[in-house]
Amino acid sequence: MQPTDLLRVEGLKTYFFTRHGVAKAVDGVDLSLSEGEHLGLVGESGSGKSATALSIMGLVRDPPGRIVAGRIVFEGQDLLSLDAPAMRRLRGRRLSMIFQDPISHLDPIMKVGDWIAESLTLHKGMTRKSATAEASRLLKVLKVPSPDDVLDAYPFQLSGGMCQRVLIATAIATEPALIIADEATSALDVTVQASILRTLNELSENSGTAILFTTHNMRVVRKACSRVVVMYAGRVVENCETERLFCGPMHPYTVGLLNSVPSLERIGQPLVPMAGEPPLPTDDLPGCAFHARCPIRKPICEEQRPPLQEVHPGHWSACFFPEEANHGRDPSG
Amino acid sequence: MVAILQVENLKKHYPERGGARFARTERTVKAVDGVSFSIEPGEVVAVVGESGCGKSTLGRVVMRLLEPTAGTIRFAGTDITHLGGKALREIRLAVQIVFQDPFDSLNPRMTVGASIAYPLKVNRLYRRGDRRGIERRVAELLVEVGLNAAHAKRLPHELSGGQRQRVGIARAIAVNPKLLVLDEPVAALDLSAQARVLNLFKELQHELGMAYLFITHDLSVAEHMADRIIVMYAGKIVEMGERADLFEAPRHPYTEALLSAAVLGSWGDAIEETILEGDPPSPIDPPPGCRFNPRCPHAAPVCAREEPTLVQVSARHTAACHLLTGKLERRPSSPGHPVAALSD
Repeated sequence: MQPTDLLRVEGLKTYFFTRHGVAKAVDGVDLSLSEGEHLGLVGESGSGKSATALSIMGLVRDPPGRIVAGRIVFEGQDLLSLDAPAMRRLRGRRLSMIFQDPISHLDPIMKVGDWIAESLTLHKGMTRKSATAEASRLLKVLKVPSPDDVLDAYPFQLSGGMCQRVLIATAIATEPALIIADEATSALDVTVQASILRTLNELSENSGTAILFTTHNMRVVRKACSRVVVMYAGRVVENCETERLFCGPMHPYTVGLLNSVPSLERIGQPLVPMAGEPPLPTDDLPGCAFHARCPIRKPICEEQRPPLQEVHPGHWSACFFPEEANHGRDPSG
Repeated sequence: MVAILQVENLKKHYPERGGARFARTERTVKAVDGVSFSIEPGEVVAVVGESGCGKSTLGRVVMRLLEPTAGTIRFAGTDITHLGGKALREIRLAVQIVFQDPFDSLNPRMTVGASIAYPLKVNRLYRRGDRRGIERRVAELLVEVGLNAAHAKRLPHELSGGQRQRVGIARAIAVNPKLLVLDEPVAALDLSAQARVLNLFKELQHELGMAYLFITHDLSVAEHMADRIIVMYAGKIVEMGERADLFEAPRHPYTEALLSAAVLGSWGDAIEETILEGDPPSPIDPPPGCRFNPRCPHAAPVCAREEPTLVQVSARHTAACHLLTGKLERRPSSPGHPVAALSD
């Protein structure tokens, strides 16, 4: 383990045991995050990005889900070896999460102020009064216009963007080392999304909090993350710096994703979508999970699973032919 | 050339009741508040805006799925604002809609084939009992939208989101409409499915020459699809113009902010963005004057007093902002206010 690693996930396998068979939602994921880093975990629905996030938080519902293999090392501790009370103490204190749909993650019959204060009284041992004052200060930090009115409101009285700011306030209240933002801006309007991303960026620069963004939105990745991990069918297919991903992707799935984004920088160019559909999580494929949709596939891809290899320093790809992956990709995008 | 759709000063207001039992209050939600535009035959017009701006309501009022509060809707020259019964059904053959959610907009107990055949039957496009004719047309439509004839026997739950959306499209084009209203048709789809459905819309438009009213929150999708773009904010049109004009020279500060949020900028560029403070306003109680003024980086007192009207900035480009009438000066872009340190 490198000394700077805040979080390291090794060989994580999270399976869901359903009546249709075993769904290998996360099937051998490795990733690491250093202090203050912003990492993007990208993939389409069903790629396993949310299951990875929930596994790190220890929030996989069992049954049907279970972490069957791997290690999750956070601040030097293996989270999988912790018992439930120890995990509960860590969660909310050192490890926070922001969810996609803020309104359904707030208590509808609890005033927002009490909600934020609860986290502070619980984890920081504050009195109710000082916790409420702190909650008000946090909302001010998040540039909420009259914070005291917001504290006195119920979630249904607030907009989605405001509820998301409340969740963020709760998440940062205990000054955690890592925030997991699970599609945290996907349900918001673009202008609100932009302001929330900026706020998160500034907060993390000031406090050194690392953020793991799971998202399907390439724009969010480009704006908020310094490094990206691309997932497909439960596995990592590419891991590199954000700029490298956009300029020189080395996995045909990443290339396919980038070619599918209508981009204001590539005006007038046709979209080149990928053929076919992703495999079902219950399918057991011996080879590369992407081979059926891959434009550069060769016989070996169907038989053997390509390992995640460091193709260039700091750039990993799980493809047998990473140098060929980028054919047909317009570099200006 | 007669416009396929012409909308003038269209309004849709909803009464909203609130308050406790003996203190009832009645307010008005002005979802669409005085919107005028037209669409030429075969033209693709995108309506762009954030949630609550009235874009979906606009689509539904145009379809006469909702009754307009005021204004007129003309379809190919005919006033359809107050049409009903048979005459309205005939117009509906020419205007069809595709909804956002391919999960909710198909009957889960009807096969794909039955869903697509339904508009053919209710509109009596085939002789009663002409099963072969209908089957042939359904198969043809399925192929047209990139599925195959065998899909007719499937139920919606057996299909992926992208495939379901194709079924919704096949059903909409079954009656050979001249105008398709597309209400966020790709917002619920994954990226690769989204790209394929967008390409399908382009092909269909090319082959069948339909006009589209394409409602979306995503400027890059609008850019990809549209000939002309309408930007809405809080029930009003704030800017309208040809795609190239609007993207290269936006004239309304809201359009500028939307554009800067939509650009695939890089890590280092993040600071140069125009980032708006606050949230879109509530349509119940929009701010006086220009509805954008509380969030506008250039706003001055005049903006809260006077509502700007759409002014012509070039041949087919209009915008509603006091910057264009000389009543307001553009402020130089100021660097973002640094957030107070977390532990002060």
